[in-house]
Amino acid sequence: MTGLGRLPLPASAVRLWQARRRPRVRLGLRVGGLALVAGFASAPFWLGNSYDTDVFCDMALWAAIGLGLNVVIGFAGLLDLGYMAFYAFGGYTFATLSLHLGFSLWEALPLGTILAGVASAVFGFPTLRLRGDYLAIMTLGFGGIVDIAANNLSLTGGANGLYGMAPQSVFGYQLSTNNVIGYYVLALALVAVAALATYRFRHAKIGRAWACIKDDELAAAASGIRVTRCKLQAYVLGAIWAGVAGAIFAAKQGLVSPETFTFDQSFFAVAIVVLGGMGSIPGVILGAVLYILISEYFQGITGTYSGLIFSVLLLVTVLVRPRGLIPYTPGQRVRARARDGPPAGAGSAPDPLPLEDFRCAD
Amino acid sequence: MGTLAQQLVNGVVIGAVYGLIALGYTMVYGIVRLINFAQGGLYAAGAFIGLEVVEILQAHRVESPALLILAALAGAMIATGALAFLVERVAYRPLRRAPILSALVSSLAVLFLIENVIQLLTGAQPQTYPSLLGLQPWTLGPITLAPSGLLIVLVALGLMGAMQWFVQRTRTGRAMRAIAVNQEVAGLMGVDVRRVVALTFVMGGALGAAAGVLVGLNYGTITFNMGELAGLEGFTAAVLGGIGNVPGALVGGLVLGLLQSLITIVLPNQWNEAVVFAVLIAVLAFRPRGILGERVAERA
Amino acid sequence: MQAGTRMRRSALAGVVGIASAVALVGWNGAQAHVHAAGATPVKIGFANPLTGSEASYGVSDYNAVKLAVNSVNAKGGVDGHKVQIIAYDTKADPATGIAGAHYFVSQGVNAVIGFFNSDISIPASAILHAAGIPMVSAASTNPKLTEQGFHNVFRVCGTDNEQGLVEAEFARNVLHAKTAVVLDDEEVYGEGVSQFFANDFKKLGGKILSHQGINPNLTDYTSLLTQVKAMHPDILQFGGFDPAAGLLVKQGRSLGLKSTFISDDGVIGPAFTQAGGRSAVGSFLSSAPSPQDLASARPFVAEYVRTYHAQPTEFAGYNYDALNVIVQAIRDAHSITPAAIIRALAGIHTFKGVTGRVDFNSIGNNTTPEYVIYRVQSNYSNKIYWNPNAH
Repeated sequence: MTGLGRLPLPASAVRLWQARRRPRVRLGLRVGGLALVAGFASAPFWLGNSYDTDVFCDMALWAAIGLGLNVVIGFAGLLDLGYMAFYAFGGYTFATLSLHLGFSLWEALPLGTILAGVASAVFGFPTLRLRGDYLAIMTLGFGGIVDIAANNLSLTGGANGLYGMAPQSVFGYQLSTNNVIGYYVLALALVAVAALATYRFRHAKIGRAWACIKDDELAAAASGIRVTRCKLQAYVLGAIWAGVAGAIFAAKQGLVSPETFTFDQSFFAVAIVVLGGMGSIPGVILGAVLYILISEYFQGITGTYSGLIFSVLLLVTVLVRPRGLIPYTPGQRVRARARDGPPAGAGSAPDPLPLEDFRCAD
Repeated sequence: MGTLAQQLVNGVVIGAVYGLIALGYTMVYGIVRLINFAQGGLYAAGAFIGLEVVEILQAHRVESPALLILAALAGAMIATGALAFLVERVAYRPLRRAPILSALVSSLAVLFLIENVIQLLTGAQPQTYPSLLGLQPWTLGPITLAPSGLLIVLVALGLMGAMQWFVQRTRTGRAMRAIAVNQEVAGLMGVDVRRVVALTFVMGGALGAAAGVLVGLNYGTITFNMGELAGLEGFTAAVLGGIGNVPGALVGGLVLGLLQSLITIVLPNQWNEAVVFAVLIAVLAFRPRGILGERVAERA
Repeated sequence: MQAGTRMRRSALAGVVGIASAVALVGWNGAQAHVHAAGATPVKIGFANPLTGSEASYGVSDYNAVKLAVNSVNAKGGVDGHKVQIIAYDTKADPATGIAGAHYFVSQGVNAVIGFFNSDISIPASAILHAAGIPMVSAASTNPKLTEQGFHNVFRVCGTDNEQGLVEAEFARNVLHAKTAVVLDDEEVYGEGVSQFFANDFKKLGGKILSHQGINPNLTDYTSLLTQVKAMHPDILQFGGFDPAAGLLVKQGRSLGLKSTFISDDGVIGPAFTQAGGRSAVGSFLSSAPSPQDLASARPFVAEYVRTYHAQPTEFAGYNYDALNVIVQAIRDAHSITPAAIIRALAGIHTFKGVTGRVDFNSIGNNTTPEYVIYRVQSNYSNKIYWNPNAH
C-alpha cells in the first residue's frame, strides 16, 4: 500500500483505496466489482455481434475447462499436462454418436462423460501413485497417444476431424452455430455450475483431504487418508468435467478435429490455472479471460506476438506472484469472520489458521 | 536381413541424438530434481545459433568443413550455455524454495518463450544447414551410413564420457553429487550450491546445443518448434535409462532409438510415436528407476 | 493483518483485471468504428496461419495480398474506395479460425480471402454463408469446400482430387509404374492428395504396397524409408509440404532408395530443394503452372522478390489473384455490398490473373488450374515435364 503512493494515480483513487476498509466503502467496492463482473459477462448481449459472442463463448468454455483442471492441479496438486485428451473424449463421442446414430447433444453427453471418466480411471489407477513430476510426464504421454489416435482412426475422421453434426437445441430453443449466443449462455451456466460444485468440493471432506495431500503427501497418508484413492477421485472428476465441456465445445464449433487437443492446448489449460491462481476459483476464471483476451483481442494490436506475450506473462506471474493473480488462501471463511472485528494493526502476525480446515478426512 | 541391419544403424544414430538431449535433462534432474522442459527450447536455440555461426564464418570465407563444424559446435554450446545460465538465474533460482509445480510451469513457459522468439527472428521459415560433410554416405553391403551420422554417435559418446568423468572425478562433480544427495547439507559442508546448480544448467544447455547442431548437420533442416517433440523423446530416453544417471542417458537414448526403428518393421509409421509414449508410461508406471537406476548420487 | 490484506489486495487485482479487460473490449470496438468512419474503404478479411508451424506459407500469402492491395490503392483504389486488409491469424487451429470468421462478420468486411487450411475453411465458410459474405479461397484444395452448396464460396486454386488424378495418370501412363508406396503428413491437405492418388493409381491398374502417415514435425524418417526401400516400389508418392518432402528424399536417397519421388504443389516451394539438396533432383511434382513459370506472373514474382527479398511460396500467386478477382468483381458490380460482390464473382469467367485465367464454374471452383507435372532440374529449378492437357 505504501507502494501505491508512488504510482501516478489520481488523488481520489488513492483516497478511495485508503478508505477501502470502511464498511460502507467496502460494500460500495464490492457492489461495484460485482457490477463490473456482471457487465463484463453480459458484454455479448450489448455488444451484439457474432464475433464478440464467439470469443466470449470460448472464454467461458476455457473458464469451465480451467475450473475442472483446477480440481486436479489446484486442489489435489497433480500436474496434468494431457488434460485436453479428456476434452477430446467428450467432443468425439458427441460427434460420432450425432453423425452415425443421430444422438442429440443431451443424449450423447452422458456417454461422453462416462467414457472420459472410465479412460481417466484406467489411466490414473496405475499412474497416480507416482511422484508429481513423473505424473506430469505420463499425462503428457497420454495426451500424445490420444492425439495420435484421433489423427489416425477412421472413427474419428483422421486429420479432417468430424463435422456436419445436426444443430442442437436446449428446452426447445435452437442453438445456432452461426451466432453462438445460445451456446454462450450454456457455457456461462457451465462456469457457474463448475464454480459452485468445486467450491462445495473444496469445503467438503474430500476437499480437505486433497489439501492435505497437496501440502504433504506423507503426512496425509500417515493421518489415514487413502492418498491414491483421493487423487484418483480428483483426476476422474476433472476428466468427467472436461468431457462435458468438450461435448458442448464440439456442438458449438460444429466440428471436432485433432488440433484442438494437442499438447499446446493442454499447456494453455495449465497456464490458465497457474496464471489465475492454483486453487482459486475467481483466479482461474480471470486466467481464462486473460488468455482469450490476449490470443484474440490482442491480435490486431500486437500482430503475431500473442504467444510471446502469453508466455512472458506466465513466467512473470510464476516468479512475481507465484500463487497467481488472485491467490487462494485457505481458511477464507474464518478470516472473513475475523475481519468483521476490529481491524488488526499493520505488521501483526497472520491470523491463526483454523484447525478444522486442516483436519484430514477419510 | 539387410533391412534389419540398416534399422539397427538407423536406431543407433537417432538414439545418439536422443541420448545427447537426455544427457541435458539428466544432469539438471540429477542435481535439482527438476524436469527442465526448457531443455527442448535450448536444443532448438543451439541449432539456430550454430547455423548463424556457420553462416557468419562462410560469409568471411572460412571454408574448411572441420573448422566450420567445430566453430558451430563451440559457438552454439557457449552461447546456449549462457542462455541456460540466464534461464537458471531468471526462471529457476527464484523458485528454488517454491513447490515443484511452479518450477515445472516456469520451465514450460521458458520453452514456449524460446520457441516464440526463434519464430519471430526467423519468420517461422524452416532453415537449412549447408552440407559440410559431403553427401556421399558410406556403404557396407546392404548398410549405408552418412558421415554425419557417425559424427553424431562419436560426439555423443565423447560428451557422455566427458560428463561421466566430470561428475565422478572432479571436485565440482563431487559437489554436484553432494547437492544431489542433500542440498542443505552440501551447503553446510562448504559447497557453493548456487554456483554448482548454475553450472549444471549451463552444462545441460551446452549439451542440448550440441545435439541441435549435430541434428542440423545430419538432417539439414531445422525449425523453430523442433524442440517440442525432440525434447519429449529426449526426456523419454532419460527416464528409460534412469533419470539422473549419466551413462543411463545414452543407454536410454539408444534403446529408444532402436525401439523406434524396429517398430517400423511391424507397425504403420503413424503409430510410432504412440508406441514411444506408451513405453514411457509403462516404464514410469512399472519401473520408474529406469534401466540403469536413478540419480547420479546413488551410483557414486 | 497480512493475510487479510493479501486477500483484499487480490480481490482488487481481480477487479482491476476485469476492468482493464472491459476497457480493452470497448477499445477494440471503438477501433472498428474509427475505421468505419473513414471514406468507406472496401474491407477485405484475410485469414491465414501467421504463427505456428505453417506460418511460413501464411506470411508469404499475406505479403502477396499486401502487394496486390498496394498496387490497387496506388491507382486510386477501386471505384474510389481504398482497399483495406483486415488480417487474422488462424494459427492453423480450427477453433481460432472459426472465431476469425465471426470476427470478419463483426467487422463488416465486404469479402474474405482464406482460410488456408481446408479444415478451417469448411466450417468458416458456413458462418460466412449465413452472413452473406463472399469468400474466395486461395489455398484450400479440399473438394468438399465448394461441394456444400454455398453460393458465396469461390476458389481460385485447384482441388486435391484433380491433383491426385494427374499424379496417378503420370505414374501409370507416362512412367509405366506398377507399384507405389504412399506417405502423407496426416494433415487434411496431404492426406487428401495422397488418398486420391492411391485410389486413382489402383483404378488405373497399379498396386499400392503401403500407405502410411508421417509426423511432419520430426526430422528422422530413416527407419520408415528403410522399410520403404525393402518393398522396392516404382513410385514413392508423398502428400504434404516441402520441408518434410525434402527430408524424405534426402534420407531416402542416402539409404539407396531408387524409387521415383512424386509429390504435390505443397512441395513446389524452395524449402524442398533446400532441404533435399541433390536428392531432390529428378523428383516429379504436380502443380498448376507456378507464378515463376508464367509469363503473366513474372512482374508479380519480380516485385515480390524486390519487396520481401524472398521467393513467394506456392499459394502466394493465388492469393494475389484472389484479391484482384474481388476487386474486379467490385468493378463489375459497381457496388461494394457483399451480395453484389457474390453475384459479380459468379460471373467471372475471363479474368486474367498472374496464375492464369480465372473462370468460376457453377459451384465456385476455378476451371483453369490445369495441373501439370514438374520435374526438379539439376539447377534446382522446376520445369514443366508433362502436360496432360496438351494432348
